[in-house]
Amino acid sequence: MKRFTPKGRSWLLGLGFVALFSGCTHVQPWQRGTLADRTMRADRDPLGTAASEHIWFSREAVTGGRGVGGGGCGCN
Amino acid sequence: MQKYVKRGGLAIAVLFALTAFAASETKPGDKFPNLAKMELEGTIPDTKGKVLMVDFWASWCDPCKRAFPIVKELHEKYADKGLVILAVSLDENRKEMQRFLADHPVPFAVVRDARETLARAVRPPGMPTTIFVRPDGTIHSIVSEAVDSGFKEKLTKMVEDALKTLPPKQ
Repeated sequence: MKRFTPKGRSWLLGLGFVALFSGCTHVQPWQRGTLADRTMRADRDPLGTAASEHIWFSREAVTGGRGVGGGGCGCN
Repeated sequence: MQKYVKRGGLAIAVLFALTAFAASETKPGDKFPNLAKMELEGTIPDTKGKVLMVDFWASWCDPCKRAFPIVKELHEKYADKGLVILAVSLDENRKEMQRFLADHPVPFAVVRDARETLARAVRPPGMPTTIFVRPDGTIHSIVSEAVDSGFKEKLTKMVEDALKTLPPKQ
């Protein structure tokens, strides 16, 4: 296989960055309706949460530490 | 290899700089966009010679809903003193907005920014965001804070400060 020239490699690297970063987007505060949906909440099912807590406590001898937010509208 | 790392780093820096440039928010002193050109759904109230208070909200935003009774109180207290309130809904779904308003009727004007034209022009930093516009069309102040115990006092002070920009009555 033919090796790339230094110039070709730098182009390839540049294209790689562009391809990688084009997928990144900042969800604007006013576009977070879907994120605010109840289904996006980690604790939407009280029974499931209680079961997980019980399993964690039984197996790991730990409890709590579930205060990290996930999903949500990130509103003020 | 070092050269490629440098070039890669430069490419990332440029991308981040472009992102930062694109995401610049509106500041006090800036001109507020012409509402008539913003393709808003609903009737825009007459704001000539008045202070306009624009409240960006959505039915999925709990703090926005908590702020609504406060906005309502401000309308009742300051509407006859030259304050015009316009609530701009950023709901994607019109029915959800209508459902909320049917349960919580409000005495001030509500429009929907369905195409996000106003939101993209103003770039509210959070939800809710309240913007006070002077009679000359420039932004007096922007409030985008947690709707906590001090929110009402803060908003009331902003209203009173903004109303001072009204021209003296003849």
